[in-house]
Amino acid sequence: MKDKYKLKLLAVAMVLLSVANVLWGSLDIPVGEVWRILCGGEVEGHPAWRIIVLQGRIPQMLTALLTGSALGTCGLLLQTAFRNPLAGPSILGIDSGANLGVALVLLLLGGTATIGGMTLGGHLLVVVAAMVGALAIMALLMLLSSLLRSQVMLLITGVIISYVTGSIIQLLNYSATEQGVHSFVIWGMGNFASVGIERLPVFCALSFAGLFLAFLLIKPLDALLLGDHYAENLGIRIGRMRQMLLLVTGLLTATTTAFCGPISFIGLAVPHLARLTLGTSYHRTLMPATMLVGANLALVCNLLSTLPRDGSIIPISVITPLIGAPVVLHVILRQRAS
Amino acid sequence: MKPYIIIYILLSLLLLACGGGRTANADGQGDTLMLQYARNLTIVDFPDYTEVTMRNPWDTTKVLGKYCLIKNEELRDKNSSLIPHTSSISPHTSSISPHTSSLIPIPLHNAAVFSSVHCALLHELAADEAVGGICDFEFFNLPYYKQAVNTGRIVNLGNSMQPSLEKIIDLNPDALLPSPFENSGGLGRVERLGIPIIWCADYMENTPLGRAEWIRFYGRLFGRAEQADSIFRCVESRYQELRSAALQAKTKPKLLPEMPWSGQWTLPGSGSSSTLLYKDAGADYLFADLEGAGGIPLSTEKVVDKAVEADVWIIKHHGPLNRAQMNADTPLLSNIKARIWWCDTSKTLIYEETPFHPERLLENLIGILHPELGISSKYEYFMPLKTDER
Repeated sequence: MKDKYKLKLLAVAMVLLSVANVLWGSLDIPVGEVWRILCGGEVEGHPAWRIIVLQGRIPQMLTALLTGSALGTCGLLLQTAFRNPLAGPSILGIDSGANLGVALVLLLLGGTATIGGMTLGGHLLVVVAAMVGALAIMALLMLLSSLLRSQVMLLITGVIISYVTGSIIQLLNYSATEQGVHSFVIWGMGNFASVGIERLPVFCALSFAGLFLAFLLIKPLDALLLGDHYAENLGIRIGRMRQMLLLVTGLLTATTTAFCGPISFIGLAVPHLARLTLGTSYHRTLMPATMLVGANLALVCNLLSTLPRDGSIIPISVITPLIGAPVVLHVILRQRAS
Repeated sequence: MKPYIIIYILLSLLLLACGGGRTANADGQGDTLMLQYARNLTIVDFPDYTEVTMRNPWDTTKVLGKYCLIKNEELRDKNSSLIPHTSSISPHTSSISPHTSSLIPIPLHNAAVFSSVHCALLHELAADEAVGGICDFEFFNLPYYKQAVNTGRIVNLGNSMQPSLEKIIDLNPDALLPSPFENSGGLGRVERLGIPIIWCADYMENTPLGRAEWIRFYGRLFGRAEQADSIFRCVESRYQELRSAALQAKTKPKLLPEMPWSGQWTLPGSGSSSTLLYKDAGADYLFADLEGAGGIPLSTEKVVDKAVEADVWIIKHHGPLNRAQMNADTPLLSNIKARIWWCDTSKTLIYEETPFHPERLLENLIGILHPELGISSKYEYFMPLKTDER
């Protein structure tokens, strides 16, 4: 099957899964009633259903779709840039910067902070803290990338940053209240329902900006597949390219982690699923395929999270490794065989 | 019937009625203290000591701890064989063995108390001079203990889950009072120091008065049995009085507790003490049929579907609360029109005071739910969310 048809199939699957995400939730609302609400009607006797569908399920579906695309794209960029099939958004430590920011406000400050005379709290403070933490680590990495010539060294730096932030978080956890630890653990499980309709435009704008910038990197990434020297001969400025790559992955990881919490495995597994689907390494088709596969996978995870019919939900970070781990295992075994 | 038989029956009934809530235990030597509400605690008073048995709350067929509170230290030194079942003074006082008791010389003079809840109670019992060390000092809101740690009178032993071994050895307390957790693995090396460990499992009681009744045990530990019994009697009588008053209310406002965090809304299950408290306050708790004894996590949309019917919404929150921000964080909440009452846990002593004084919380809740009853509460843990905050 040609790549174009496969991409179309993935797009159709994304549309179907998006519809399923609106129709299906942890609350049983008949399909006909959901349709009536989508057409602007009211449901008698159930005043909450309208707001659940319009302000709950639709933003959640869009958040899952964009988060999956963003994380998958990050994984693809990093795997190509570092020529490491096990690279993912967490490898550079950017998401651990977001974790640290959130840990500081939830575990140290108790969930409220006064900045410039204004008291912030709730999810808004968490988003701001995660964004600041992630962008601070990204800035540090960009600074280091201009000093370190080797990509491997940059990778090692990212891993070290993760360890350092991890130990600070452990220290904060150790001396935090039971409530604080609980809040941090729940946030750490990831969740596509955190982006409300008011913050959706900001989330969408940042995600689309990152994805657009990623599209601009398609040509240099294809050149990088042939090796650094070959890419340089083709006129690619490796240093600048690396800075751009850090900016894009940093922006996408910071946005998704800040709004949805840490979502594991999607960034790592999706590029491999896309490669398996298309059988190509060229980014012109691989990148859109990665975005579509990422969106589909996140939408499936969001659907699976509502499986318990008693009204509870399965945390997203519980589901993603269950789907992602077999893919990573397959890649490792295939590498070993080759 | 012959008159002497009638007199005999009447006398027997009189004697039973004057028992003061005590019954002779099986071997006929001790008086079992009648605990009406606490399910995990048995206290038997013997002439020279008190035997306390704690049932394991997570496996009620087992014993969490068994303690012999020796009232007279001289007696303990002379003849410890008086104490039944005490095969040895077990250094592993967390032992599940029902046949091993830990000897606790009472009153305690230098105890290491791990939680602020118990410290608050000891302050009320005027026994805080007997506290030598505390844990999790960063989260203490109690002025006396803050000052005592700052002046060095009380030692900060560090984290309650992993207290400083060296500081405990240096303090040499006569007992450690930690809170047990299911499958926590105990206190590790601290258990091998030979210091008696008295597990404070009161929080596992599933009724508000059940937990409060543990006051009587803590009172006996610190030589304040009479004060503790008196405090509990006041707690119980006020609680029952308030409960009866709430039963007279003609309405039953629909109650919604707590708020969602990161897509999850944790609500008390039907078997929890909070659910019972809401019922006693004359509320129609919207999720009273939720199975489980602890906090049950539900999806926000599942809760909101029912929450739109709520009349009163009570929220415990650390720091300021703002309705606009709540709606921005979770737009689904904007459909809930209930009156919001919130408690700033960073400024009130709700966590420290109400575990052993559920009547204070009940009074506050009845005041909120049934203003028509005219019960004004001295304890205002919950405040209405002001209009400008909405």
